[in-house]
Amino acid sequence: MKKLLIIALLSVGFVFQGMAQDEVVDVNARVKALYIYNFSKNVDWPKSYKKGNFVIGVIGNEAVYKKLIELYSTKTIGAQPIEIKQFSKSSDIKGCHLIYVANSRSSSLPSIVKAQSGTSALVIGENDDALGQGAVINFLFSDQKLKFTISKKNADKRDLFIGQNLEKWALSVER
Amino acid sequence: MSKRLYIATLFLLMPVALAFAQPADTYKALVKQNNNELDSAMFYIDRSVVNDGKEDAQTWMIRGFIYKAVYKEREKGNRESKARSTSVESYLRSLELDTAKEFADQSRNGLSFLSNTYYNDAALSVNVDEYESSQVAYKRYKEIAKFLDPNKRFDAEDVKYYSVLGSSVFSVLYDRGGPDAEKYRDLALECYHKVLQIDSNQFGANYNIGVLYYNMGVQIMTNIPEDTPIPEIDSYQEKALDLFAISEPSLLRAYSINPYRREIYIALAGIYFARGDMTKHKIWIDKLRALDKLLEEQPELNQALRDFNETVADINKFVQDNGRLPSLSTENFAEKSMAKWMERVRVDKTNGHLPNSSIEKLEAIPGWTWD
Repeated sequence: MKKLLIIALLSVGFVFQGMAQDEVVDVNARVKALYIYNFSKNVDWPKSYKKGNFVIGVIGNEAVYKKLIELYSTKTIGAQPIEIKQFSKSSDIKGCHLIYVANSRSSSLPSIVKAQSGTSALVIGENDDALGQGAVINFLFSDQKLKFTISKKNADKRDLFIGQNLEKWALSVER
Repeated sequence: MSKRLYIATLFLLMPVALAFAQPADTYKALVKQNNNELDSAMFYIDRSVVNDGKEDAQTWMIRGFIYKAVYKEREKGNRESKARSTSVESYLRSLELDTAKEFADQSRNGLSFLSNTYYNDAALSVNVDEYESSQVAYKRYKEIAKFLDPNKRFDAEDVKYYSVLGSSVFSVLYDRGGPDAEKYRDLALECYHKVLQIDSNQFGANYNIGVLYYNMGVQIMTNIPEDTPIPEIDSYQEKALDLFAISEPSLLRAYSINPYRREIYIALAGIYFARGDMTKHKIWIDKLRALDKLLEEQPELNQALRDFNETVADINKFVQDNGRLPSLSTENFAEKSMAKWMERVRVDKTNGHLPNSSIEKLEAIPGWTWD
C-alpha cells in the first residue's frame, strides 16, 4: 500500500482560500456612526429644535454617511424621526441638529462653524484643533481606540446641554 | 510482498511450525484463510488466541494476517474498520511475544501496510465533514509508524497535514458560516499553530492566521449592535484591537516570506487604520498600489492567479483523460480534491467573488456547469 500524497491537495489551492476583504474596510465608520447616535441621545437641544425631523448632516466620509443611513434612518430621537443628509458644499448646510465634519474636510470646519453661528447645530470635528475651531465634539484616537472630547464652552454658545453621562464618557471636557 | 506470495511463504513455514506444536486452531485458521473462508479463519484464530495460542507469537502474527485480509476484502475504505484495528493489535502483540524475532519481519510488513492505509484515510478525509476521523486516522498512522521506527520524525508530514487540514476547514469557514463557523475557525487556528510550532517561517500558516484574526477583528467592529451605549463601544474596540494585535506579526512574517499577496497589504493597512495610525496606514496603501502595478506588469508573480491557472489546467487534463468533470463521490484523492475546488469556485461566483477572467477560464473547460 503506497501512501497518497497529501501535497496533491496543495496544488489545487486549498492553502490560500481564506480571503481578507477585497479592499481596506473602514472599520471606524460604524464606531463613528454609533457615537453620533449616542451624542444625539445624550444632548438636549433648545425647544425650537424639538419638532420635525432630527437632522444629522455629514460632510465628507461617505462610509460614515452610509452607516448612519443603514443603522439609523428609520429610528427616532424622542418623537423625532432621524433624517441623514449628506452635503458636498458647506454653504448648503441648513437645519441640522448635528453636523459631522470628516477629517478629509477639516479645512472647511472653521467656515462651517462660522456659518452655523446663531444656530444650535452641534458640530463634530476630527482634527487636533477642532474644539479650538469651534466644534462641540471632536473625534480622536487614544490608546489606539476612537474616543471623543467635548467643549462645554462651545456647547454653551449654541445653547446645547451636554448630558452628564456624555461628559463622563468623554476623554476630556473643556470648560 | 504480494498476498499470494505471502501465503505461499506461510505454508512453507507450516511444517516447521507444526513441529513446534503450533496450536491446532491456528493451523485450522491458516488453512481456512488460504481457502478464502475468512469467517471460519477468524473463528479459529480468535479461539486460538484465547486458548493455546494466547502466548504464541506466530498465532498472533497469523491473526494479524487474517484480519488484514478481512480488512482488504471487506472493509477497505471503511475509516473505522474493526478488522484493521484487530489486525494492528494482533501484529503488535506478536512482536511483543516474539523475543526471538522469528516472525518480526512479517508483522512489521503487515503493520507498515496498515499504517499507510491509516495515512491514506487521513488524507482522503481531510475535509470539513470528516476532519475528526481524519485526525484519528493520522494519529493512528503516526503511532504505528513511530512503533516501527522510533527515530522517525514527522515534522515535514505534520506541516503538510495540518496545513491542508487547516486550509480545507478555513476554505469553507466563510461559505458555511452558521453556528459551526466558530468551531471551524478554532480548528483552522489550531492546525496553523501546530504548523508554526514546527516551522515558524511557513508562509501559509502565517498568512492564514494573520488573515483569520484580522477578519475576526473586522467582524467585531463592523457588527457592533446599533443601540450600543458608549462604554460598551469601548469594549468592542478593545476586543477587536486585541485580535489585530495577534494578526499583525503573522501578517508581517507572511509578508517577509512572500511579498506578493495583496491581502496582506489590505489587512495591515486595515489594522493601522482601525488604530488611527494614519502614517502606517498610508505606507501600506502606497505599497499596495505599487504591488498592484507590479502584478499588472508581471502577472506571473501573482500566486493566487498561478494556483488558479494550475488547477484549471489540472481539471482540463482530467476531462481530457476521463471524458467527464471530476466528481465528489470518488475515492480518488486527486479527483476529489479537484471536485472540491470546483465546488468552492462555484460558491465564489454565486457570492460575486470570482473575476470575469476566471469565469471565462472555467467556462472554457469542456462540460463545465455552474450547478
